[in-house]
Amino acid sequence: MTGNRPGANGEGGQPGLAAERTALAWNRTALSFLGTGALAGRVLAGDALVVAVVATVVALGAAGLAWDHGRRSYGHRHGGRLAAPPPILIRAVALGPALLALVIAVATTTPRMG
Amino acid sequence: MVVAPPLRNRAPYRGRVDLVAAIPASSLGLRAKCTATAVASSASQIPTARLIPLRVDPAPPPTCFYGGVARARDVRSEGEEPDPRFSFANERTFLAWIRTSLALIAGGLAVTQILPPFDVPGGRRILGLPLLAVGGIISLRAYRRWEASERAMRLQQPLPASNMLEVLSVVVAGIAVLALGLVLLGT
Repeated sequence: MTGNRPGANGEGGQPGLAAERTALAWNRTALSFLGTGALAGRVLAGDALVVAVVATVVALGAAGLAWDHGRRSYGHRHGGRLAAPPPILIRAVALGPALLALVIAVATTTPRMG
Repeated sequence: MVVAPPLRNRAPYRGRVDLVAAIPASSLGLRAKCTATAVASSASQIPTARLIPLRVDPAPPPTCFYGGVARARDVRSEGEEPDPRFSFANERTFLAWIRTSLALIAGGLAVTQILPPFDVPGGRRILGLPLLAVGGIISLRAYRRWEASERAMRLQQPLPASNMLEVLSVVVAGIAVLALGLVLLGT
């Protein structure tokens, strides 16, 4: 690394193992989504089935996106494509937890669930 | 009313306007709007926003439009491709924030649905809802952080500062104190 300014690079920009670490980070994130979705589905299913289904679908969808991107990006980046991920994917993955929090909060504040 | 003379006076700059606030199109003018970068997170900061001249781009991408919030549609269309290692690091940081938000949400879910009730009425909600709220907010802010960092790297600018760590630390500490208070009140 040369200098402290991002992008100031004098080494040719070889990613080394960074692509692999990033793919693993996507996989860990997918697993986190899976775990949270499973927990939400299991816990909420007894009292609010619709909320449980929505939470699980949101979590599984985000997990699928994250896992698929990690798998594909690793291959593409090793093949020389090193561009940043599409912002729409980042947005979708960021919206996942927000939606999860929202539906769980709704379920929690509903009198039946409290 | 947003005062925008500084933007008008910087018309010779070419680049992108990134104003995270509603700005009347008439107060900016098309030329000024598409020819400078101003970084402001609220309307109150706009009059003093620092304008950063960018390199002259003969064919700037269509990243601005009239009225409302002016913003790039795709951060990848700006500037130059940075060192991929920095992009990867930015991506991993975003993912770490997402996992943090998921952990907070799972904690909130566990507190509100799995813990036995506290002796204090509504204790589980008092403790769990802030966790859920913070988890949701962090995930959305993580995206803003990723985008801002990616943009800064592509435009060869210093990385933007973020107070997410401080906010998270204060919130977690506050929730811990709240939990302690609930437990002590219950005994």
